[in-house]
Amino acid sequence: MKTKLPTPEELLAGMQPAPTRHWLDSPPDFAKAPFCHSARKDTMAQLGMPHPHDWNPADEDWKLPENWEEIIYNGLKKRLARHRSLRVFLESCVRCGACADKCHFYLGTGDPRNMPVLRAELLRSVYRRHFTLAGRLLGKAAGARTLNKNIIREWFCYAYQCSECRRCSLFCPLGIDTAELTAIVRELLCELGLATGWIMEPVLNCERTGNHIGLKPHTIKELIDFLCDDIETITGIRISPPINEKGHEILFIAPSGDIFADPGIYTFMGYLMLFHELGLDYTLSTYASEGGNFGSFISFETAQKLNAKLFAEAGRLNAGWILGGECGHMWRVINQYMDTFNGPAPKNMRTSVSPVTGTVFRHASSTKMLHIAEFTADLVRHGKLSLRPERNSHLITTFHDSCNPARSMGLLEEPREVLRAVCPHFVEMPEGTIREQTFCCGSGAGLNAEEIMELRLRGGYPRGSALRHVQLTRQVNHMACICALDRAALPAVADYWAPGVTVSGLHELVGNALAMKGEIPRTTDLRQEELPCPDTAPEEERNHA
Amino acid sequence: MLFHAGLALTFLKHLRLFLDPVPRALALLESMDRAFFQGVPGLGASSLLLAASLFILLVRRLANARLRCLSLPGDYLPLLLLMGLAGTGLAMRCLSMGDCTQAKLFLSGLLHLAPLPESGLGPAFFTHLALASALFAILPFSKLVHPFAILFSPTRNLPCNTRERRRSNPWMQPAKFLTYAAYEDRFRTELAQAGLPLETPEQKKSGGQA
Repeated sequence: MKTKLPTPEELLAGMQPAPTRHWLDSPPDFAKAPFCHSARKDTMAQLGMPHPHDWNPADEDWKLPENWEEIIYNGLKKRLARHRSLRVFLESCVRCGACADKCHFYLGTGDPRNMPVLRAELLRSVYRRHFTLAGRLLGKAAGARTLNKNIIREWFCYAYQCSECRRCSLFCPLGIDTAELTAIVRELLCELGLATGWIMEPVLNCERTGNHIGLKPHTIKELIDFLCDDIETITGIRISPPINEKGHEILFIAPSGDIFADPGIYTFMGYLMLFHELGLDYTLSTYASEGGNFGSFISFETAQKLNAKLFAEAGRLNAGWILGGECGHMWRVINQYMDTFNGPAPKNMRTSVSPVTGTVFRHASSTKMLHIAEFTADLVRHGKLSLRPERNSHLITTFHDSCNPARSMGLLEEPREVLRAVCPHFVEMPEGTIREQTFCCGSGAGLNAEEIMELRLRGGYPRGSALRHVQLTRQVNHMACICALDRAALPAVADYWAPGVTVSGLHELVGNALAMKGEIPRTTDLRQEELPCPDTAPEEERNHA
Repeated sequence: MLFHAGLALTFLKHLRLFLDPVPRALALLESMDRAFFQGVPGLGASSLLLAASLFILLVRRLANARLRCLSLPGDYLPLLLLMGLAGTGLAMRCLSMGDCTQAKLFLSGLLHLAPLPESGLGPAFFTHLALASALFAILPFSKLVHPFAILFSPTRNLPCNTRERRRSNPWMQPAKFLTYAAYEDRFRTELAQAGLPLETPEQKKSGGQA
């Protein structure tokens, strides 16, 4: 099934040339379009999605419901009434072009429809025709198009070539957030029964088992035990993290990818080691075993449904507050939607207070949920961690700001503070590619599917180029990030555009550097690879002293 | 930015045609505007700024393939109107030395709905007036109302403190989701097998094996 990928040179040569004709006069070529596989009929049916049906994006006929035009019209009408943002964003664009070259998918494909402005015009043109007077009277002269089946294909094609990273919105003088328009288009498509398997399968898993991967409780326990075995091998310390236990101060929720997939598991080991060393009063949960939220790639209601178990579990376990792991879209949902979706927080919850430093995190006083980078940065600031950064001294690391924590939460300094504390060599990538202007990994918002690998590598091209630059000029050989999707997607992007650079989560590096009480001298890192500068044996240390 | 500054200055300068007496600040602005162009009658920094920036905006829209492929007639129309306005305006000031006093008399006549017969106002003036009227006529329907969008854009006028302060959503219904009780029922055996605490005592159907 796996097709051979073109070389980077071939990929860049295959970039679309600058457009010569007006976009309304040049229909897209769907034959070469990077479609994800469609969601299966029974998946959609089990989730209670409208009009579940079998269809294939490569086919001519997508088997839309009889009254599909009416569904779209009413769906758009309903959403226009609901969202002020939608009304404003559909009306206000002046096509100044400031966003055009800011999208990583445009930079990687050269497809004009991947310019954020044009991606938005795909919906805007239909809105004009059916909801504005000028569009009705002037038609194409006002940039309006009558809804047809090809437009539905176009929407599906380009709404799933947007990773909702919001970089374009940063450059829009009017503050238009194309990600929100993408989200609305995906919702509309969903009403016709059109969705991708890569998103809907995890959503179904999450609804049935509490996490995207579909891990059942005993499997979660086993996986965590395996990780604890590894920690014991490396450090000589046995950790047995509490699971589903009531009455602990903190409920810890990570993206489920972190207990399952390489290299996320090493980050999870880092979390566990940190908590153990601090003597933190916490519990994990097999029910709320997913911080991430693939529902947010589909609709507000689905996102709300998957998010609800976080507060519910904190209530059931009588936890004081929730600590959240390193994840991207998870934090977009928690930061922007959770409180509105499922708040207010259960009565037993309190504003997050670090039990180690006493810091009160007032900025999260309503959701009572804290990001682990904020928590650890606070520890670093107060000097509460005993660290041996020399264990990471073979790494010259840079930091990839994950779109959602950076742009939606403004989590820019905290991870850097932690990184500087645990790594002796830290190098920034060029201005304009980091912090709030960071480039997407190219696989966010449910695009992490294997079948569109070429598109993902194209989307990762800007990030890859920036990485390649610091690899060549500053000998960077490692990139840290704080997003589970990044950990899944960036190794491939790095292998392709900057071979030789490894990728890890922030807390993997924390785990490596953490000097734990009673540990044996470490000879390997968390991946059980030999440390170039292993810990000196205790006798030697004594001799040195 | 240059364009917006040029437009604002030019707009302010036009106020002298409608205000009597001309406010001090306006006169000061006028003299500053012309400070660098003493030798050339009529010419001011704002005029040059406006004309040049309009030219750049049009050339940019035409020469850049990306922009050309997405531009609509509605993007060119205001540009062309403004260029016409700037052109006739400059022509009046620099070439025919339009008579400001006459123009002011004529306009105030129009404003008071008692038009005076024009005297000595050339075709440039009337073209200018017609274009200005057209511009104001399409203003509410065109993209020129875009400045107001900034005021309404949620990305511009809402603070990002959603973890600190809860906002309620009138159309959002409480979520229907997999509750813990249902989860425990579904995975009772697996939970027990893994030695994880159970909320309710084991039910008969699960076999009673811990």
